[in-house]
Amino acid sequence: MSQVLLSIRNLKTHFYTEEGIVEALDGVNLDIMRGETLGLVGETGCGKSVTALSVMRLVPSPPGKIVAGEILFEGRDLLDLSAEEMRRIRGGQISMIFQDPMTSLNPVYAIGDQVGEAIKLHQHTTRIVTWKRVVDALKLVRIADAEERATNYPHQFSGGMRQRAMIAMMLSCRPALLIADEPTTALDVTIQAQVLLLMQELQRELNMSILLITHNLGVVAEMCDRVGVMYSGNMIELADVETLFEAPQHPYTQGLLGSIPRPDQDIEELEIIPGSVPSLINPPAGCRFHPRCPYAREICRQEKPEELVIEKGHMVACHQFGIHWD
Amino acid sequence: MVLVEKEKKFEFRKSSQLRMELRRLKRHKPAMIGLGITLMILVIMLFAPVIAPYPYEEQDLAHMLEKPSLEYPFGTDAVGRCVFSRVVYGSRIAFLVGFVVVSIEAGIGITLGLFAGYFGGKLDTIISSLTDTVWAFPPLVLALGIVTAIGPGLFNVVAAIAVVSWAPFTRITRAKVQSVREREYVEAGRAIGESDASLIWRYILPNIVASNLVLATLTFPSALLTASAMSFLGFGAQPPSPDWGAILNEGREYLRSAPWISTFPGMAILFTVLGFNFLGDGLRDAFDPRMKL
Repeated sequence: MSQVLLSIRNLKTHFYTEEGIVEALDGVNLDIMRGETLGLVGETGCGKSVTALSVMRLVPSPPGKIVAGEILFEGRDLLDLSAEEMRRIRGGQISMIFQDPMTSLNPVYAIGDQVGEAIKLHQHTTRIVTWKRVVDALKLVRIADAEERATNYPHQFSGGMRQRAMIAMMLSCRPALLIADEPTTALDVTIQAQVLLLMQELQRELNMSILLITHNLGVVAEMCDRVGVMYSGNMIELADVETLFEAPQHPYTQGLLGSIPRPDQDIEELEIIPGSVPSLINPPAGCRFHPRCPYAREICRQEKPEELVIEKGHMVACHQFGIHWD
Repeated sequence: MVLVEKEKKFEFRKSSQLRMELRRLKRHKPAMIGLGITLMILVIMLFAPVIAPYPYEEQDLAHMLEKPSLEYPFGTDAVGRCVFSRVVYGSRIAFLVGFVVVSIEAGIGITLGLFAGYFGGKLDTIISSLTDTVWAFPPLVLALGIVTAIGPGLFNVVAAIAVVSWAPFTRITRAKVQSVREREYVEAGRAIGESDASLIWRYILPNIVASNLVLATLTFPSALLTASAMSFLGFGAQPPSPDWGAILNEGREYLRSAPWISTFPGMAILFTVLGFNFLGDGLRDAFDPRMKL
């Protein structure tokens, strides 16, 4: 279980825009174990999606560029691979599903052809074998009448079915890692539950790891083994899901959890985090959260906090837990 | 058994977007008129030897400058050739010119547009500046210049027109590619490990065909007009070729005494252009009512 599949070390991805350099990722560290689901949460623009795109090496370039760091996948640094080698990894060993199933399928090809394309690319199968696997893949994601449905075009599918078809396409080569970038945000609530359940079942069947990006903390609580909280291009807290929800340590995580309504507790007003996400072009010096942090001191304005392990499997990047605080 | 299965699948596929678009096209009245005209001219072109009562170059010196009659439906010209036969045969030249010009233009334009739109960066800057430069020239003048340099003749005219007017295809293609490139299914294609070539070929190209088809249908008549204008000016098809522009020119001297010589090829041009324009508008509305072209 505790075998590391993907290890991101000090990853820095920058975007070079006309307004200046956007430091979208400012030294992110992250480990994903085999078979686990790791959630990545944070506000819009905190770097969740850029992390995912960096792992796939799909950061649009220009203007984006991975300027430093390592992404070790099964021991190999993905950043050292040639474009050709990387293409073989994509879809084969690491797959990604996207937010909006309405636009993530090519409108001019039948569903089966698209799922088949992924299979053909990585397994070089003959047409008949490909088609058989397409039908199997569609059956796997519980699409009824898979043989017939495979010949349909995307516009003949509902949103939930498209997302399942997308999952079929991405899982058809049995990847070791699935990156899901807000896979249920665009779906109806009832369909969300179905899709999430399906992902959990398939994860068990295929023994794969999932990197789940979302800003829905309910989804995280339901799905994830561990959770990483990102803020302004940094990983600020990472712990297993119980610890994070029961005893969040970073002031930002506390604020984030305080801002969700909880029917089981009698709370008059939801907490809000004052201020807004800082610009990534000229981020605040020191800890990027300090302008919004109720506990901020001088050191927070000057030094970037280190990632501190406060107990086994619980990382917090905050000066409060450092030796210079008291 | 397997065969039956396959056929069933094919049927199922046909009930797709294309069918919806065809239905929309059928409801578009001008488009159906345009299609009718186009098909009619196509039939005339294919069966020219059957339809034309005389070979287009046959002179009947006993019947020069004769009015339209049963024997010569469109009358005869200064050397006694049947104008009707010449106009009928002329449709072949008109279609050939239009088809070849549009193919070359679309070939150059779409290729450049795909590269500029997909890869962007410096390549885009170079291609876009080139496109803007070519577009800045009035095509007829530039084509005349080229033909003056390389000499008259239908082939040279075709080449000259094609070389100076591919710019709209590049612009349209580039703009469409830039929007299609950002769609999630292209990203998804990348995420399953597709190469640039297959992303362009399988994901982008099929999604920009519609607007280019519309543009091609609308470019066809303008190519025909330019070619006719050049033939009329004496740069294009040379006598005794029955090019419509050339016949117009031959009839110029006799506009008062024998107006039928110029009138009928002029009407042929008019109807062809009108037909294609109607059809193009209809196609545009059928493919995408919101398309701006």
